[in-house]
Amino acid sequence: MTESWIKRWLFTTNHKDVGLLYFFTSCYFGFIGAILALLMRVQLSVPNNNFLSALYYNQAVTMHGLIMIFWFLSPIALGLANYFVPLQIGAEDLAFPRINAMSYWLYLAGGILAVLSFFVPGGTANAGWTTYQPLAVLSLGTGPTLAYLGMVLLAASVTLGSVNFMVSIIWLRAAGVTLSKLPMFTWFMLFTIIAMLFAFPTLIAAFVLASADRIIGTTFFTSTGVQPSILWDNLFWFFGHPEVYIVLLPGFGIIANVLPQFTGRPLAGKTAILVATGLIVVPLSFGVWMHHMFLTGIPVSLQGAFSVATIAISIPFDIITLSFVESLIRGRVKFATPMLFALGGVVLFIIGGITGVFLSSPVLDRVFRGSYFVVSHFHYVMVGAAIFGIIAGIYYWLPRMTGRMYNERLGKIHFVLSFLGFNVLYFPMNLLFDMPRRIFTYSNIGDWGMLNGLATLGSFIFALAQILLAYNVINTWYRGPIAPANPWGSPDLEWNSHVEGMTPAMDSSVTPPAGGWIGQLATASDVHGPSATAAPGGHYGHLSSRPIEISLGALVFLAGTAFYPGPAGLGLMVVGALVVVYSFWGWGMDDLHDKFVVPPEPEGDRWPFSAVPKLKLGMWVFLSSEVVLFGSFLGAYVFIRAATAQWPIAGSIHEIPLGTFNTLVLVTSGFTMFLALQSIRNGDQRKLMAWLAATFVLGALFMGVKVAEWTNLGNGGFILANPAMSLAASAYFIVVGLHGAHVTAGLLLMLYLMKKTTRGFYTKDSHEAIENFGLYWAFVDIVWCFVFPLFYLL
Amino acid sequence: MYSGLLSLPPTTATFYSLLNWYLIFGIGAAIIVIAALVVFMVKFRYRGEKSPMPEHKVEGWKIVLITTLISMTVLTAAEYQTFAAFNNIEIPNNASCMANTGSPCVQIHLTAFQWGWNFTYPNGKSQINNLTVPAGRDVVVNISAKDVFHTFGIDMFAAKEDAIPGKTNHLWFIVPAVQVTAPPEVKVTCNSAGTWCQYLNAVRCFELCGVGHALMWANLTVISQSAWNTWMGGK
Amino acid sequence: MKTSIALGVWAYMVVAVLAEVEVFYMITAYSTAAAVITVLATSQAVAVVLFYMQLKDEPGSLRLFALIPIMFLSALFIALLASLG
Repeated sequence: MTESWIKRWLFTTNHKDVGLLYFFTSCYFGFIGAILALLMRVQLSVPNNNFLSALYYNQAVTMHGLIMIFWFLSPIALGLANYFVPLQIGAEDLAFPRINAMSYWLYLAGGILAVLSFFVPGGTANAGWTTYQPLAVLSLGTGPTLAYLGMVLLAASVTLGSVNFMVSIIWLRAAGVTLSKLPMFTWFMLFTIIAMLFAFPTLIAAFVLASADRIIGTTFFTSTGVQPSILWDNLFWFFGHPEVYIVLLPGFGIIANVLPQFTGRPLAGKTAILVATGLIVVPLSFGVWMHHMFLTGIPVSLQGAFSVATIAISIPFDIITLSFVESLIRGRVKFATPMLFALGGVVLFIIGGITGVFLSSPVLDRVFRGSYFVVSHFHYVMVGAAIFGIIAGIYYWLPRMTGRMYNERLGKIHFVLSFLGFNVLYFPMNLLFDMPRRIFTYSNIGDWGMLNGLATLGSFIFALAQILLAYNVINTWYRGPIAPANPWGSPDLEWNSHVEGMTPAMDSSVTPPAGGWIGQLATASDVHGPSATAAPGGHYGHLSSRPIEISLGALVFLAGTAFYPGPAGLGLMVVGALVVVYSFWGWGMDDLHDKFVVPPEPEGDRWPFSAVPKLKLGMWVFLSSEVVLFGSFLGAYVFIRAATAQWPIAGSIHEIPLGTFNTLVLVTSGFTMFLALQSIRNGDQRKLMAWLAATFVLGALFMGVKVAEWTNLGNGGFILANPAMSLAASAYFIVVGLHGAHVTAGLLLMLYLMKKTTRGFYTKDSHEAIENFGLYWAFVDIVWCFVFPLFYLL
Repeated sequence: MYSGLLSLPPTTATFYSLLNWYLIFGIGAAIIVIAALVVFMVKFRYRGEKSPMPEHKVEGWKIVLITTLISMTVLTAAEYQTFAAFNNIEIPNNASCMANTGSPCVQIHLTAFQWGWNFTYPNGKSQINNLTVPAGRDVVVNISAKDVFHTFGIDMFAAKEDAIPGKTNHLWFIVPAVQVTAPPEVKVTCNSAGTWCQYLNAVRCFELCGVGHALMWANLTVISQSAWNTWMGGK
Repeated sequence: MKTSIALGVWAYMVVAVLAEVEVFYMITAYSTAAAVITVLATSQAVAVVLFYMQLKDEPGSLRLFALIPIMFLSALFIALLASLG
C-alpha cells in the first residue's frame, strides 16, 4: 500500500474508482443486512423461541430494512451505474466528478452513522424501516437519532448523485450516441434517477422533521392533536412508493440490457418498454402511494381512486414483462449465468407483481395489510427482480471490470441455489397471510411453525449461496482466465473500448483500441485514469481531497447533533461545521488555481437540452429537487395548520411591518442580482462587483433582521418549550431556519464570486457562475415569497 | 380452510369470494406467463450453428397492444369485483343497521395502547383485551389510540383498521351466530347453552408498536342477543 | 432582457408584497384573504421564474422540466388535505 494507492482511493474522482468504492461498500452493508435477516430467521425458525429479545428483534427488523434498501440495493446499482453509464455513453467521466465522489463519501458517512447507532446505549432504531410516527420519535436513546441523521445524509448524497447522472446522461453522450441508441441499462438509470430526484427531497424533509423532534424538541409528531401519523404516512409513502421503482428499475435495466446478448436477437418492444417506463411508471409512481394508507381512515372514495391508480401502474409492467418473454421467441437462447439470473429475475417479478395486484384492493388489504403476505410481495420484487437483475449485471460485466472470466459452472450452481433458496424462503410467506409481520415470537398455531421453519431453511440456502458469488468475484479478480475483449459479442459501447487483460489498477496506462461500434469514439475513459494528468504544483489533476473532507465534516457535525445539547455534542458540531466550510472554501480555491482538471465534454447529441449549458442544466435540475424539498416542508406546515383548531392568530406573533420590510429587502436583492448579471453580460466588471456587493449587503441585512426577529420571538415566549406555542414555533423555526440556511449559503457563495470578480475571472463571454448563482438566488427569493405570507399573514 | 358447516360472517364471505377471483386471475396469469417463458426458453435454446438464424425484427407492437388489452380487461374485471365488495369497508349508519337487523348499530369504542386493547361499550363498561359483541347485530368499532400507531385486525372477519392517536377510524362487521367458522389458528370455546363462544386471540395488532407488539392480542367473545341486552341493561 | 423590464418586475414584486399585507389588514374573511394572498404569492413566483431566472427565454424542454416537480407537489398537497378527511 503505497502512498499513491491510499491517495488514489481516498481522493479519487474517477467514475470507475468511485463505482468500485460504491460496489464494495454496498456489498459490506448488504452483508450486515443479511446477518440481521438471518438473526431474525433464526428467532422465527420455531414457535416461542427466545434467541432474540423483542427489542433486539425490532432493532434487527428496522435496520435490516433501512440498510438493505438505502445502503445496499440502491447504492450497488449506483456503483454499476458509476462504472458503466459513462462507458455506455462514451463519456470520460460523469459531469461533476468531485460531486460524484462526494455522493459516495456522504453515502458512506451516512452508513457509518447508521452502523454506529448499534453501539450507543439502548441500541439503534427500532420502529421499523417505515419509521411510523409517533413511535419513532418517542423511542428513547441516541441510537435512533444517529440512524435517522444517517438517513438525511444518505438522502443528500442521492440527491447530488441524481443531479450528476441526469446532467451526465444528457450532456456527455459522445457523438452518435443519440437517445435512441442509448443502451437499456443507461435508459433505466435515467428513469431511476429522475424518480430519485423528486422522491428523495420528501424523505429528507420527513427525516429532518423527525430528527428535529428527537433532538431539539419540536412537536411535529408528538402533538397528537394534528394526526401526526397521517402526516408521516403521506410524506414517507410519497417518497416510499417511487422508492420501490427506484430500487427495481436498475435491475430491470440490466435484464433488458442482458437479454438480447444471450438470445442473439434484439429486445422485443424496446420502444414500448421505454415509453411504458418513462411516461407511465415514473410519473404514476408518484400518484399511488396511498395504497399504503388504505387503513388509515381515509375516505372510501380516495381508497377507490388510489386502488385504480395502483391497478393502472401494473399495465406498463405487463408490457415490460411480456416483451421480455417475447424476446426469447426465434432467438438462440444461451444459458450463461447472467442470462439465468435475468430470466430468474423475470419469473420472480411475475410472482411479486401479481401479489402486488392483490394488495391494490382495499378490501383484500383488510387481511393482507401488516401480514407476511406483504413481506413476501416486496421481497419478490425488491430481492427477486431487483437483486437477481443486479447479480446478472455483476456476472455480465465482471469480464469488463477485471479483464478476466468468471467460473461459469460455479455461477450456474450459484443461480440454482439462489433461485431455490429464494423460493423456499419467500413462497411460504404468501401462505402466512394471517400472521402479523414484525412479531418477534409466535405460538404454535395452525401451520405457522412449519411454514416459518421452511422460510428459515430457505434463508440459509439463499444466504450461503451468495458466498459462491463472493468467491467467484474474488477468484475471477485475481486468478480468472483472461477474458476475450467482448465475450458476449455485445454491440454496446462499454465492450468496444475493452483491452485484453486489463484490470482497473492498470486502467491509466492503457490506450483504447481503435474503432468501436460507433466509429470514432472508443471511449477515452481508459486513458484518463486517476493519476493521468498532473496539474502544476504536483497535485493530481483528477484527485481531490475535498469530497472526503466535506463528508467527514458532515459526519462529525451530525454525530454531534445526535448528542446535542451535551458539551461533547456541541464541540463536535462546531468542529464538523468548520471542516465543512473550510473544505468548501478549499474546493473553490482549487478551482481558482486550476488545481482540478475537469474532463472535457464530448461534442455529441444533447437532445432534449441541447441549448442549455452543462452547469446551468445542473443548477435547474438541482433547483427542481429543491422545489420538492421546500414544497414538502410547506406541505407539512399546511397539513398541520389544516388539522389544528388552535393556532396563534396571524399578526399576534410575528411583527408584520418588520416582516414586510425584510421581504422587500430580499425582493430587492433579487433585482440587484439580476443587474449584476446584466452588467457582466455587457462586459462591465466594475458594475458586476458593485451589484454583487449590493446583493450581498441586502442578503446580509435580511439575515440580520432575521436574527433580531428570532431574538424577539424567543424573549416573547414563542419557543418550543411553551406548550401553547410549541407547534407554531416548530413549524416556523424549521421552515424559516431552512430558508435562512439557504440564504447564508448564498452569502458565502457570493463572497467567493466577489473574490473571483476582483481577479477579473468573469468576462462578457464567460460568466456562467454568475448566471447560475443568479438562478439559485432567485429561487431563494421565490421560497420566501411563499414563506412570508404563509407564516406572517395567514 | 373453512369448513362449510358453520355460518360465515358476511364480511369474511365477501373477502373469500373476492380473493377467489384474484386467485383465479393471478394464478392463471402467473402460470400462463411463466409457462410461456419456459417453453420459449427451451424451444429456442441454442443448439450449435444448426439453430435457425435469430429474428431481427425489433418492434413487437402487436404483442404490446394485445398485452395491454388483455391486462386492461383482466384488471378491470378484478377492480370491478373489488368495487362490488366495497360494502366490506363502508361503515353503515344507523338507518342501514336498522334496515339490516331491525336494530341500530352497536357502537363500541376502542382505545389501543402499548400494549393492549381497551373496549368501551354503550353501557359505559369497559374491557381490556376482550371484545364482546352480540350475534346478529351490526357492530361498528370506533378506533383510536392512546400513544402510538397500532392496527386493529380481526382476520376471521376480514376486518382491519389503523388505530391512530388523535384520530378516530371505524370498522364494521356482523357476526351471524354465536358460533361461526374460525380459521385453524383461532381456538374456540363455547358454553353448552350456546349463549356465548370465545375466540382466543382473534384480535391482533398488525403494526409495529414497540416491544409488546407480538403479544398484543385480544379475545373475541360473541354472545347471544338476549345475553347482550341483559348486559346492556336496556341501553 | 432589457433592464427596464427587470425594473418593472421588481416594481411588481414590491407592489404584490404590499398588496398581500393590505389584503391581510382589509379582508377579514379568512378564506377570501387566503385565496387572494395565495394568488399574489404565486404570481410573484411566476414573475421571478420567468424573468429573473429567465425561463421564458429557455427552450421548451427546460420549461417542461420545471413543471414536473410542481405537478408532483400538487399531488402531494391535494392528497395531504384529502387524507385529513
